[in-house]
Amino acid sequence: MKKDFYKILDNCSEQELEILLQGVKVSSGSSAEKRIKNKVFSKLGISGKAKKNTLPRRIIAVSAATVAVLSLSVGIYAAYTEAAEYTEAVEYFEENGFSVAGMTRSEIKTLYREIKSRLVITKEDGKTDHIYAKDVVTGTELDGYDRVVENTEKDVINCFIKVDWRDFYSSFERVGSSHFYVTHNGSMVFDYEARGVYLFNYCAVSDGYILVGDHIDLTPDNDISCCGCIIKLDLQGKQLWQMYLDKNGDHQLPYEFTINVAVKENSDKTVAVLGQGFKALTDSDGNIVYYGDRLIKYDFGTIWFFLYEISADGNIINTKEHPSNDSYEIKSFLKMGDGYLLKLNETFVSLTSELEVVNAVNYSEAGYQYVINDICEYDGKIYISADRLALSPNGVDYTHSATKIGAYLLGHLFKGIEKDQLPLYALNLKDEDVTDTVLNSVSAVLFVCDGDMSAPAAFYTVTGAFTKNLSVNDGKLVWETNNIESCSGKHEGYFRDSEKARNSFRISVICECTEYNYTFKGDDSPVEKLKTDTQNKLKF
Amino acid sequence: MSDDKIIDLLKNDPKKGMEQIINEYTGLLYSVCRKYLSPGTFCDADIEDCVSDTFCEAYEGINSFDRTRCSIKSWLCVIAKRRATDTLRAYYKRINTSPIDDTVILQSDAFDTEEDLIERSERQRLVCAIKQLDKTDRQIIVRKFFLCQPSKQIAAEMALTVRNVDTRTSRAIKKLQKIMGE
Repeated sequence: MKKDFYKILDNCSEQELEILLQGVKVSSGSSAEKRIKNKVFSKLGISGKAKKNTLPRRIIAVSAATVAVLSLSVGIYAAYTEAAEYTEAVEYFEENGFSVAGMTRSEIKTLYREIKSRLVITKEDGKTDHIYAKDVVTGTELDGYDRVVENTEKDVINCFIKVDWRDFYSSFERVGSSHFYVTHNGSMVFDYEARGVYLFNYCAVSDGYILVGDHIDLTPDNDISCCGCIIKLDLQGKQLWQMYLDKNGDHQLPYEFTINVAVKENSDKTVAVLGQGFKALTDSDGNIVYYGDRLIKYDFGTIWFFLYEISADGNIINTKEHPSNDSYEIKSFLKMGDGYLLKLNETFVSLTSELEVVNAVNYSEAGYQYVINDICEYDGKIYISADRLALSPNGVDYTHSATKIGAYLLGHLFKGIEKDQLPLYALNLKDEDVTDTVLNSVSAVLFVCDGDMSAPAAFYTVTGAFTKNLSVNDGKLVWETNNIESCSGKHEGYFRDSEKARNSFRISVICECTEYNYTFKGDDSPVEKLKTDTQNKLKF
Repeated sequence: MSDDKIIDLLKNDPKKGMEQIINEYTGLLYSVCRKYLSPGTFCDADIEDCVSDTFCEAYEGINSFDRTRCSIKSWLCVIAKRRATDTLRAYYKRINTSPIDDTVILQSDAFDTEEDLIERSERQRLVCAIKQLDKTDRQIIVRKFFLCQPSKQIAAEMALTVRNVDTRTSRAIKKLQKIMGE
C-alpha cells in the first residue's frame, strides 16, 4: 500500500490538491528562484530586474553600433566595446555585491576580464600548489607569495589528527547508539560509543572533545522523547563528564536538540553550546507536561534559539533563549562583538547578544558554488574558508554520488555522457581524466571580510585544492588546505546490460592530497606557505 | 497575500504580481517538476525551464482561472505537472523509446474507463483519510508521497529531525491503512 500512495496521489484533481496542499510551503534556493524569475520575465517581456539591468548596456550598444556603422571606424568600434565591457563589468560587480570603489575604469575591466576568463586563478604547472592572491578592492596582485618552504616542522594543534564520524545517520537506528572516533595517521586513536545518544555535532577543544546530541527515550505510547546531552572526552577518548539538559530533576533546561546545535570552546576554556530546539510543553498553570512520570512532552509550535555557557568541568554558568521564526542548520558559530555569527551550509546568520536574528549573508558567484568549511575571527576581521566548485552544464549529479562535493564532481565527469552509457563509462574511468577534471573544478578559497560580514574585502585562492581548518597560532592566522596530487574514481554498484536504465551505482572520487599551511599576518598579507609531510586521502 | 490580491496584481501590475507568485510558489513547483524529471536524466536547468514555463502559462491564462474551483497554488501544481509530463514525453520521443514506468505518462491522460473510476474512488478514500490526520502528519505524508521529498528535506522544511519524520511517516501510514480498512 505504501508503495501505491505515490501512484494514487499522482493523479489528484485540483480540488483534492486543495485539501492535500493546505499549509504546505516549500522553500526554494535563492539562486534557482532568481534564474527562474529572469527566465519568466524575459519570456513574457515584463519589465523586471533582469531586463532593467540590461537597459544601459543596450543603449550603449545601440549607440556605439550606430556610430560604428556610420563611421566604419575601428577606433569607434573599440570605444563601443570598451564601454559595453565596462558597463557589463560594473553590473557584474554590483550583482555580486563586490565594491569597486577606488578602482579605475581600466582596473575594473581588467579584473572583470580576469574573473571571466578565470585568469585570476593562476595555474603554473598543471599541478596545484601555487597560490595567487587578488585583492578585489585595489586590483593589485600580492607579490612574493609563491615561495615554497619544504619540510619545516610545524606545531599546530590537531594538525595531524583527523576527526570524523562513523555511521553518523545510521548508527542510532541500527544499534541505538552513536560512535565518535579519532584517527592519527590512519590508525585509530579511540572509538567512543555514546550509548543511547544521537550525536549532532562536536568540537575539538584544547584538552579533548565536546560532543552534543540527543539522549533518546521511548514514551509509553511508543513515541520518541529526547533530551539534550553534552559529553566531554579527553584526548584519549575517556569520558570526563556527561550532562543531560532536562534530567536533573529541576527541568531548568528543557530543550530537545532536535533541530541542530553547535559547540565551541571560548578563550577562557569555558564551553558555549548554541542551537535551536523546542521547549517543554506546559499547562495553563505553567507546569511541565509529562508522559508518565518522567518524560517531558515538548511544544513543537515554537522553535527557540538557546545558548548554554558551561565551565570546563561541566557546570552551567549562563543560559539564554529567544524564539526564532525559522530553523537554521547550524554547523558552527563565532562570538562576534556582543552577538554571535552562525555558520550554516552556505550562509551566515548574525544574532544579537539576545539571540535575535539580525541578518543573513550568502556568498555566491555565477557559475560556482561555495561550500563553506570554516570561519575564524582574527585581528578584527572575519576569515572564511570555503571550497569553490565550478558548476557543470550537466548539473549536479546526486544520483551516483555519496557527498555534496562528489555530486558536483560527477556533474563534470559525466558531462556529455548519455544516461545509458554511464555504467560503461563509470567502469572505464581513467585516473588521469578524473585528476584533470577535479583539478579544474575545485579551489580552496579564503575570504577576508570586515566585521559586518558584508562583501569580502579580499580573497585568496588555491587551485586544485580543498580547504581545511582555520586557526590562530603564535599570533598568526593559519589556513590549512589539502592540495590535490592525484585523483581516482572508485565505482561501487551493480551493472547489467539488460537493465541499463535501471543500473544503480555510485562513484566515489578519491583525492590524494598533501596538506599545506598558509600563514597570514594582521594586514591580510600572506607571509608564508608551508608544505607539510601530511598526506590525506579524501573521499567524495 | 490572498489569491484575489494576486490576481488583481497580475492583471494591473504584472511585474509585481509575477514576483509575488514566483517568490511564493517556486519551491513547491520545483518539487512537483522534479518528481517527474528525475535527476539522473534531467538536469537542474530542465527543471527550472519547466517551472518557468509553468509561470508563463499561468500568466497568459490568468483570465481563464476560475477562483471558485481551486486556489492559485493547486492550479499552478496542475499546470506544473502537465508541463513536466510534456517534457518527459518529449524526451522519450526524442530518444525513441518508452519510459520504464508507462504509468507516469499515462496518468496525465484522462481516461474515463472503469479502471479509472476505481482509481478515482481509491484516491478519494485516501485523500479523505489523509484529511483526518493531524496537521503535521498530513504535511509529512503529502511531502513524502505527493512531492516525493526525501526525509532529510522534509525534516529541514518542517523543523523536525529525520528520525521524527520517519517515525511519523510510519505511524501515519498505519493510521491511513486503518482508516481505509486495510
